[in-house]
Amino acid sequence: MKKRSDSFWVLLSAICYFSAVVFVIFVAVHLLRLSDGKLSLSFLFTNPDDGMTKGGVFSPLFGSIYLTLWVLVLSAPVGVLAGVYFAEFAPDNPITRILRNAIRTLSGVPAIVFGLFGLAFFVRMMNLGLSLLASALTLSIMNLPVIITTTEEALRLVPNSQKEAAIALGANSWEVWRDVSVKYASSGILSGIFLALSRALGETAPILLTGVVFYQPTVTLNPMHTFMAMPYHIFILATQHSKPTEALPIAAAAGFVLLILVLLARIFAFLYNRRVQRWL
Amino acid sequence: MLNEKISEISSLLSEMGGLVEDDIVRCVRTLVEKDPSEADSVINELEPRINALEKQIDEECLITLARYQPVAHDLRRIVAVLKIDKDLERMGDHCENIARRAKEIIKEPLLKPLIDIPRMAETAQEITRQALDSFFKEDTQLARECIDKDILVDELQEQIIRELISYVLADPSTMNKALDLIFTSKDLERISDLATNIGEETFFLVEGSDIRHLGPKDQKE
Amino acid sequence: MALKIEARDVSVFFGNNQILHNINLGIEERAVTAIIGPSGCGKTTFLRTLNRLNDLSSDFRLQGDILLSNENIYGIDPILLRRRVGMVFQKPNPFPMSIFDNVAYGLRLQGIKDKETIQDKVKTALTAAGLWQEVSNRLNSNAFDLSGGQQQRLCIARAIAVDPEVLLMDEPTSALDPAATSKVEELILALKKNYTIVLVTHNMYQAARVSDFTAFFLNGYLVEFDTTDTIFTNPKDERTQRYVTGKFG
Ligand SMILES: Nc1ncnc2c1ncn2[C@@H]1O[C@H](COP(=O)(O)OP(=O)(O)OP(=O)(O)O)[C@@H](O)[C@H]1O
Ligand SMILES: [Mg+2]
Repeated sequence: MKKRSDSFWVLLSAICYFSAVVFVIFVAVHLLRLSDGKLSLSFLFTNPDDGMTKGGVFSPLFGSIYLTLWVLVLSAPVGVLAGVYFAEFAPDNPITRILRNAIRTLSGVPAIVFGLFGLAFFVRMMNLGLSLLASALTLSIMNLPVIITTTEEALRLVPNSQKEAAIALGANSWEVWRDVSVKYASSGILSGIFLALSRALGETAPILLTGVVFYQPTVTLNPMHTFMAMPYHIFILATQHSKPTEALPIAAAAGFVLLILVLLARIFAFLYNRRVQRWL
Repeated sequence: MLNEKISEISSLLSEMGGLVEDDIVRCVRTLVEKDPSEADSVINELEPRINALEKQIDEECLITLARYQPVAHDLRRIVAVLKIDKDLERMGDHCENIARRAKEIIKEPLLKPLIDIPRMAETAQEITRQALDSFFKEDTQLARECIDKDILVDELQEQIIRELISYVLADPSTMNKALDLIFTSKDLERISDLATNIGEETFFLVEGSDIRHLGPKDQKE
Repeated sequence: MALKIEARDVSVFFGNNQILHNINLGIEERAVTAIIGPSGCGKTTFLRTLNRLNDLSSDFRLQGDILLSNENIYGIDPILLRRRVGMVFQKPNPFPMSIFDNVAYGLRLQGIKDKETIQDKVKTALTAAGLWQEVSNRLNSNAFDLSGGQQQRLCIARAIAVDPEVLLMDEPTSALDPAATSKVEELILALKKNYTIVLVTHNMYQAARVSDFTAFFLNGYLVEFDTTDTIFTNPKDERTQRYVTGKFG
């Protein structure tokens, strides 16, 4: 009796799992078909050309990756430290509880609201203008709750017995953190960061109002400059272009590249996880 | 842990056994050599040491039972030791009786030359030694031998009583002296009897069987 | 015989709850002192007070004095105190590292860098914990691959590698099977030649088997403290009597 219901659940979750995989594969294949052979190595390294009906995706691809790097640099340290604070040091009082809830609510706020906030605060008030930095800051604000919450959860899952074992051997709090907490929580924290980054990679709304432009075939490392980004590029190609039949294959190819990019980030996180987990 | 405790108890028991063997030899030597100092050493030295050892062994056994909960062979050994040290202590008491009486007896000339009483004592001592040996070596063969020797002691005692009665019948004034010797032989008979109990404990220890109160016919060979 | 640890009138509070009430207890050097008592009576709390592990709880409060070799433990840096007073926990809790690194961990914390010194001490500790034979050929494999009993002995090795003076053990065998338990018990008896051991145990037979002194705790009070022989053959207090005869708790 028990066995049968067990195998039922195993079957069900296997079906769900595989349907998700099948769905991703389906999307990828469909995008490939639509891209009509536009995809090649040079597609990655040439700029859009001729009213975006020719050429590749170099500028938006570079823009997205560069933006993500900035988001990583801006949000990960702050988010992780805040998560550490909440997990290890924050006193258990009403203020802490309010703060914690506020942060959780923040992660439910729609992306466009963050965009508006970015426009008002970073672009206008801070005088950053429409720029990659303003976008990166906006995305970072949006990502912080995710990183903080996953960090906090990951640290809470660190077994107390492990910490006490280290303390009982005469480890100080920094050593406990370094040798125990990081070991146990790093995979959780990292997957939080990657989750946040892949979101940053894919979001359009927050950057729409703070720095992304739809055509700028030069790349620059200057963060005060406007930039192109993949999701916005795809959006323009797919919906706003005057010659849809010529733009669509390029949009599909760009979509495929973005999909692969996000998948790569995931696979990287997964591999890291496995390396850590092997010892746990 | 338990093993150490058991060997500790065993060595106490063998010390006690040695003292009792000594006891038997000395109390009779008082008579044979007419030496009251032997009796004094039985009464003042050996007896208190034997009593103290009995207490000590009892205590160690108690602690061992409480702390290690021995089972099976170990449990039987502790229980056997508890009985054996009781037996040894009783043997010591009988020796003391003999010694006290001997001090009186030797104040006057003996009724007859002592032949059978020293032999009884010798045999009783031998039974004691063999019984203890059989217990420590867990040797039922040896235990059987020493139990069988008890018959010799019984025969000697009967012989002594018969002989002394003939003395008394011939001359009733020897009654007191004769009775003293009869009691002495009785004590020796008890000592050897208690010694055979130790042999019986060997069977209990080794085979887990209780051979007490079985006639020789019922006992297995 | 000298006292290694002395608890003088020790009371422990968590918030407003008083967990321990005026405990006076002297722990003899190089002997095994067992702490027995029903669940929730404060055994673990007392043990964790001795190496100041309770300090980690924000609402922990201590009254009275605890002396380690006549020195108040609150006059000692807790880090140094915990090096002198090692601890073995109820559930084996090796680190997710190799067997070798587990034992070496405490040494490295102390700043010992020399490879040979560390190797020597690891070997000594594993040998003392009776584990060397079993693991010497796989020192680099994951400690989690060991059996529960081996893990616990590994934790003991880890604790003694740093050469503590006192070893606190909180029900070290409660997660082990009888065979592993008796190995750990033998180990405890061997270790008492060099260490002062405080052993918390639920299993009073274990206390009877391995300890020299036994303290009986009940509801946060120390009811009776005496030699183990006395506690198990002739306890003075009615409640001790009932507990050791298995009539309650
Ligand atoms: N950090 C803490 N905060 C509040 N109360 C605590 C804390 N630690 C222990 N207690 C309380 O102290 C009491 C004694 O707990 P303790 O763990 O010392 O018992 P114990 O004797 O070790 O029990 P067991 O045999 O079940 O391990 C319990 O009532 C427990 O709820
Ligand atoms: Mg406890």
